[in-house]
Amino acid sequence: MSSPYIAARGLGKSFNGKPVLADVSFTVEPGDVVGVLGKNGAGKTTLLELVLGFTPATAGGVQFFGYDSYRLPGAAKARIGFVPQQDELVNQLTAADQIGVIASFYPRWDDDLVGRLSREWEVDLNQRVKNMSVGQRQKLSILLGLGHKPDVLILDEPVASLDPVARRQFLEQIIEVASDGNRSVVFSSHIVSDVERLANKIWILKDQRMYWQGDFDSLKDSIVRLHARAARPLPASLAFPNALNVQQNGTTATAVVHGWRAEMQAGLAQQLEAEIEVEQLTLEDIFLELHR
Amino acid sequence: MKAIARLIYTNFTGTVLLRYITLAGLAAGIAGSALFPFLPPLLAGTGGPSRFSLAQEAFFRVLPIAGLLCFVFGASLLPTMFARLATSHYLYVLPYGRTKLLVSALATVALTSLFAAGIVTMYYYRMPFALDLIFQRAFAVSFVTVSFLYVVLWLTGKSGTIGLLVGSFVMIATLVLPLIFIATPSTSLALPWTACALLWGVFATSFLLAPRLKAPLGRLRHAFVQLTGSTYRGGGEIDFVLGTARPWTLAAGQIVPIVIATYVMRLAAWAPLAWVFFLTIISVTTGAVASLAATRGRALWLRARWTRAELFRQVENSFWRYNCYTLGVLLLLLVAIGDWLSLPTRVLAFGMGLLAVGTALSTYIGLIVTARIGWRDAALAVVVILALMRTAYLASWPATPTATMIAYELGLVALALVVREVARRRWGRLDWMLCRPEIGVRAAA
Repeated sequence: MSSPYIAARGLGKSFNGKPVLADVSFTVEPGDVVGVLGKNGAGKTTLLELVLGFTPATAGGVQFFGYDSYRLPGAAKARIGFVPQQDELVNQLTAADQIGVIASFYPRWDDDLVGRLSREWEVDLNQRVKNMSVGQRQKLSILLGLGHKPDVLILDEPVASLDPVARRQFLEQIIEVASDGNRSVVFSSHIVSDVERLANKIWILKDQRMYWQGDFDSLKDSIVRLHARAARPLPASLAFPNALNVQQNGTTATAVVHGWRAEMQAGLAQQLEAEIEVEQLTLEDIFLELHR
Repeated sequence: MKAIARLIYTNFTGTVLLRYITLAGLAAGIAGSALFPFLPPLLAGTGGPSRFSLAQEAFFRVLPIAGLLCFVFGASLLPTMFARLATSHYLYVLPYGRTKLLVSALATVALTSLFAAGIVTMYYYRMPFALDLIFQRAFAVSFVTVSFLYVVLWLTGKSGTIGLLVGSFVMIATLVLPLIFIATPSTSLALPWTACALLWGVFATSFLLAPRLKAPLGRLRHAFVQLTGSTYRGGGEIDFVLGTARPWTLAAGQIVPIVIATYVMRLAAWAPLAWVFFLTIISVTTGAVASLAATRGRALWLRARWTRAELFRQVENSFWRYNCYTLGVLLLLLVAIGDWLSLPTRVLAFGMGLLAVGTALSTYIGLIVTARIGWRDAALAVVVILALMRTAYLASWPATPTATMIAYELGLVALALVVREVARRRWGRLDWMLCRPEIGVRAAA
């Protein structure tokens, strides 16, 4: 098995004594497409910035390509692509010049790829950056992150300002990047459907901690909604295991539980003397239930 | 190397206009300097027989200087490019990005300085001086001056209090340092090279260590905010939104650079009266804050019940409250330094008037910026600055008749009233779509 591109252990960060991330550990293997989910202020951007070594961790650390991410050598950086949440382009330049400046830093830059994508995404390379719409700027930003065919592509809410068509084109491109099998993508997004469509691993940040990490199927199997129907009124305090949320109405009850396993169904039915139906949730439902 | 070369190329040719300015500068500079070895000696009206008219001689002399100016300003994208990349996340992920960016800036400044030194040396081509010494001294002096000049260019786009303070300091350094080199003619290269090494050494070290300095600086800033308290206080919402809530920071911060400049100018022993000139320049820095009033005032207009005209009055009052502090400190400094240097009372009297009218003019020039700055606004700003400089020069010149000085200052007051009226009218029909602060949103609009 190949070594992970990124490995973090006990990662923590605090600003002026206020913790924004605590005790986070994870790995990113070649071929992983990781979707990072979390409410505003959950620590998504901080997590990505720690991974990229923008800021030193106050606890633990991140190994990126085997190096301390805070002290990444230039050769390692050449294998990383990054798309920031807000574009950081030079307004005075044309798109072509902006690409030229960034491309000059990389030993391998795929002009054909950038040319093809700019045509497909309708990015006018002769237009000055300051005259571009927010969406166009974001597309250009993504081109700058993709042009050198990075081994690891990290994107911080990359599709927030894209229209649905551009978003779909972008997702297709990410799939193309990831289909290589040797490359990885880590992206944060508020658009849960995109994460569901794209990611093969999901990280959910909650209360400054990594609440969940794993593949989407495991998450769907683990967090489910249970419907209980009994012949007699159910007891006032129902003992659903690891319940996140319980709603009860006489002979029926609904509960969202975490850490569900199929073999628990029979036992619970017997305990409650009720018929138990298990409902699989969408990622959006899971996210909402977790933050209810 | 590729990245460094590309960055240098972009600094000089990043926009179409800059490309032409750079090319014109190169052509004029090279052609103009190349003429010196081949032309008969230029006498510049010394009375000796010349093969050229005065106009022709003036043209030959000015051509390389014009070329040099064009070449230096052709690279005026350097501060913008540098600041944008230096403050972006790209610098952390681009391979060797920090080092390459620094080297590209250094090389750009070195190129312009080489060009300047070459032109200066050609001026002395026929004279019995050691040309290599002239070249080296011109190179080192240009290096320092051009470095500061690009910082000033960058700071013109900044308007925070700290930015203004640093801007004032750098502006004074830009004006004073070359004058020191000129005022103390010497064949020694020690002073200019030391200045070069010190300037770039400090800059390069802090730039390369910036990621490690970020956390301690953040803590320092946090402690400063804790110490000085919030900029917001109940009832001071207008000042808070407009950025005029902390007038003391700029007012008190002006003292250090002005005192240093005055001390240096006194040591250099040339025209001590010229400090009026510098103080006048400082008095216009408030205009930089005022130029953002329209974009910042949008939030006030959306939330308060004022009409556009009423909002203008509120904004104007807020800026005058702010100006009272900065102007008050300037006037005190003027009197204190004037007393120390034993300057004539007459100069002090006119200087005080000039500072007041300079502050007023810059504030209203700032307030007329209610949309993208057009060529008329830019021309007006240039005219105002030139008028202020001319009046400052006259005020510090003992032979200027009192009536002339009064006429000049009254003229500036009239100009301030005209600019105020323009600002008031513009605010009366302000289009907030053109005043959005976020660049992204503005681009979308």
